[in-house]
Amino acid sequence: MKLKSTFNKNTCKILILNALMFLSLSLPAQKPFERKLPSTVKTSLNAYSFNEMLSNHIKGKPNGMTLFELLDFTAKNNFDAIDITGYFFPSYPQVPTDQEINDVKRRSFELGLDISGTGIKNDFANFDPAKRAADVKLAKQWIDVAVKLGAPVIRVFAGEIPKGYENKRDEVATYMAECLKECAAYGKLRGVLVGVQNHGDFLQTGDQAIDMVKRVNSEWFGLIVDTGKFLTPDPYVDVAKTLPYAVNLQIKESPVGPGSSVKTDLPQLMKIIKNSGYRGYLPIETLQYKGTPRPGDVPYEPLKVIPIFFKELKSAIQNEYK
Amino acid sequence: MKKKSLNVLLAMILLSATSLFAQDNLQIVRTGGARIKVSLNAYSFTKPLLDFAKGRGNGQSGMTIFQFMDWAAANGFDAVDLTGYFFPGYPEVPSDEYINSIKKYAFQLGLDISGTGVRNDFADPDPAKRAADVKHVKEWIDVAVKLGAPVIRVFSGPIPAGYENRWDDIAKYMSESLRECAEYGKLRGVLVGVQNHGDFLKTADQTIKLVKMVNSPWLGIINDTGYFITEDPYVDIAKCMPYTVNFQLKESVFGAASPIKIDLKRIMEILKNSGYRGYIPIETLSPVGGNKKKKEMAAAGGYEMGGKSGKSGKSEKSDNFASTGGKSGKSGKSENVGRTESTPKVSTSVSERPSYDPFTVVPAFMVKVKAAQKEAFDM
Repeated sequence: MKLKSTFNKNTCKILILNALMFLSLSLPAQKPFERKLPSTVKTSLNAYSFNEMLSNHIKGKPNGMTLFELLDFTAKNNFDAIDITGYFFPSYPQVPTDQEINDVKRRSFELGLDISGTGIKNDFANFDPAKRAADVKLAKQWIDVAVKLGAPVIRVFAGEIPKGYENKRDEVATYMAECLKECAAYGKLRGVLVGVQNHGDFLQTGDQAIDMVKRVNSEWFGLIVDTGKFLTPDPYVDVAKTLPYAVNLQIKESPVGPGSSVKTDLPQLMKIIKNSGYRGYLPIETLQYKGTPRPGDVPYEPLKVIPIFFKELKSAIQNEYK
Repeated sequence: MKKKSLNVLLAMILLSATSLFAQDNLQIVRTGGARIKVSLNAYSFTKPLLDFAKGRGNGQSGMTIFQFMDWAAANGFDAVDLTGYFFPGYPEVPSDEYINSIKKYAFQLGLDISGTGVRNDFADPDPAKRAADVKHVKEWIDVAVKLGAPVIRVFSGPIPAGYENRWDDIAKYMSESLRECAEYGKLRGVLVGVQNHGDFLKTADQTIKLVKMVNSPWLGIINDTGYFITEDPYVDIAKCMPYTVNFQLKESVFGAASPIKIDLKRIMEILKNSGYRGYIPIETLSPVGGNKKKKEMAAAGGYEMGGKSGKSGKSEKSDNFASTGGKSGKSGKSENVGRTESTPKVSTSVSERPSYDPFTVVPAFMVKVKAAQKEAFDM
C-alpha cells in the first residue's frame, strides 16, 4: 500500500473522481444526498479517541476519564461538537437512564457543544439470525438514546466476514442489508439517520460501501465515511466516491491505519470534501496503535495528540474554505 | 474613549461583584472561555413564514420552513431557531413525520437547531388558562426533543388589567407554571428559557428574581437584547448572562423601531466576560410590526409597570454606564423613539419608516455580527 502523492497523480485522481461521481449519479436506486449549496464544515471530536481512558473510568481503573471531563476537554479545545459513542455510557450495552442522558446533553449544551452523533457495537455480518436480530434491537434502543441526546445520526458497523463465508459476499450482503433496512426504518420513524461505517471489515472499499447503501435504499440511511479504513490502493478515491452518501465522518490521522507512519494528506482531503459539497461535521478520531510496540513507537497520549491533529485539521479547513 | 474604558471597567466590577455575592446554584458555570456560534431566529421571517403556515394567498405565497433553512444555510448561519408557530397547524403539535423531515433537512444543510419557542401567557390570572398553556409548553417540549432543539423559549406574559401593582402576586403563580414546565423539561432533557419580553419581565432584576423563584436548574433566561425596558439595557443583558440559555440578538437594544443601533462590540465584550458558550440567534424585526395586543397594552399603560425608566431616556445614570448610553443619553429624544412600544407617539414616527425586508436586513445585520465576533474572538 504505497501512497505517493505527486501533482500529476493528484490531477489524475481528481479526473477519475469526477468520472466516478458522474457514474454514481447516473445509477438508479438510492440517489446520493442532495447537496445544492457549497460545502461547509464544522469540527467535532469522536469520543473513541479517548477509548482507553473512558473505558478505564467505567471499569474503575486508574487513569480514567468521565464523559463530563471529555466534554470539558472538547470545549477547552474549541471543537464545535462531540460524537459520543454509546459504549462510553457506563451502562452500555444497556441504555442509560434518561437522567444520565439528559445530564450529558445539558452539559454539552452549556459548553456550546453540539452532539454530532453517537454509535454502537454490532455485527450484522453474523450468520446467526438470532444474533443479528439482537443487534437490530440494540440499534433501535440506541436510536431512542440518540433522539434523547439530540444526536442526529447513529453509527453502526457492518461486521467481519464470518469464517467460511469468505466466498459468500452476496449472501452476507443480503442478510446484512435486511438488518440495516430495519434500523433505517426505525430511524425514519424516530428522526435519526443511520450510517454504516467502512471499517475495513465487510466494507473495505468505496464500491462495497455504496453497494450496501443501494441495497438498503432508504433516505434515512447513509455512510459514516472513515478516512482511515478503506483497504484500497488509494483511499482518497474511495473517500471521494462515498462522500455523496455520507451522513458523518471519522477523520483519521492516517489513511492506512493507526500503525502506519503515513499521515493523512489533510489539504487533499479537504479539497475532496469541499468538492463533494458535504455540509456538516468532521469529527476527528485519533487511535491507539494496538499490538506489540515496535521500535520508535511512542505511547499514545490523546491529551497531547488530539490538540496537534486538531490544529492541523483547522488550518487545512481554513486554507481550503477561505 | 477614556470614558468608555472606565465604563467597561465599572461594568466589570459590577459584574464580578454580582457573581461574588449572588453566586447560586442556578448560575451556569462554563469552562473553556467564551465562544459563540451564530444562529437565525425564524421570527425574522415571520410574515412570509406565517403566510405559508396559515395558507394565506391560497397557499401560493410565503416561505416554507424548508425554504427558510435553505436561506439560512446559504447565508452562512451555523444554526436555526425554529419558533413553533411556523409549523403549519400550530398550536397543534406537528406529526413526527413532519418534525423528522425538518430535522433531517437541517442536518443535511449542516444546520443545527439551536432552539424553539411557543406562545403562552403565564401572567394570566385564570388558573385554567395557565394550566392550558403549561400543557401546551409540555407538548412542545416533546417536539423540541424530536427536533433535537436543546432549549425552548417561553414567555412570561403581559400584566393583566387590574394587576398593575401586583407584580409579586403574578410572579408567584407564574413561577408555579414555569416550575411545572422546567420539571417536565428536566424529565425530557430540554432546557426551558423565559424571555425578557418587555412585558411582565422588563428588567434583569425582575427576570432573575423570577428565575430564583422557580429555582430549577432546567429553567434559565432567553436573553433578549432588545427588550429590557431600562435606562441601560446593556447592564441588564450582562446581569442575566449567568442564567442565559439562549439569545435573541436584536438590531437595537431599545426596541424594533429605534434608530439607535446595537453596540455589537459592547455585546461581544459582555459575552466574552461572561464566558458564554453557545448560539447567538439573531432576530430582526419589522419596525412597524408587532403584536396589536401589546400595543394596546402599552397604550393602556400596562407597559410602564415595574420599569422605572420606561418613560425617558434622559437619566444621567445611564451615561455613567454605557457607551451606547453615551450615544443615546446625549439625545434623550431619540431614545424616546427607541422605546416605541410604550409610547403612543410610535404610530406616527413608525409610518415614515421603509417597509421591512428580511432578505436584505438579515444579511446586513449578519455581516456586522460576524465582523464583531471576529474582532472580539480569536477564531
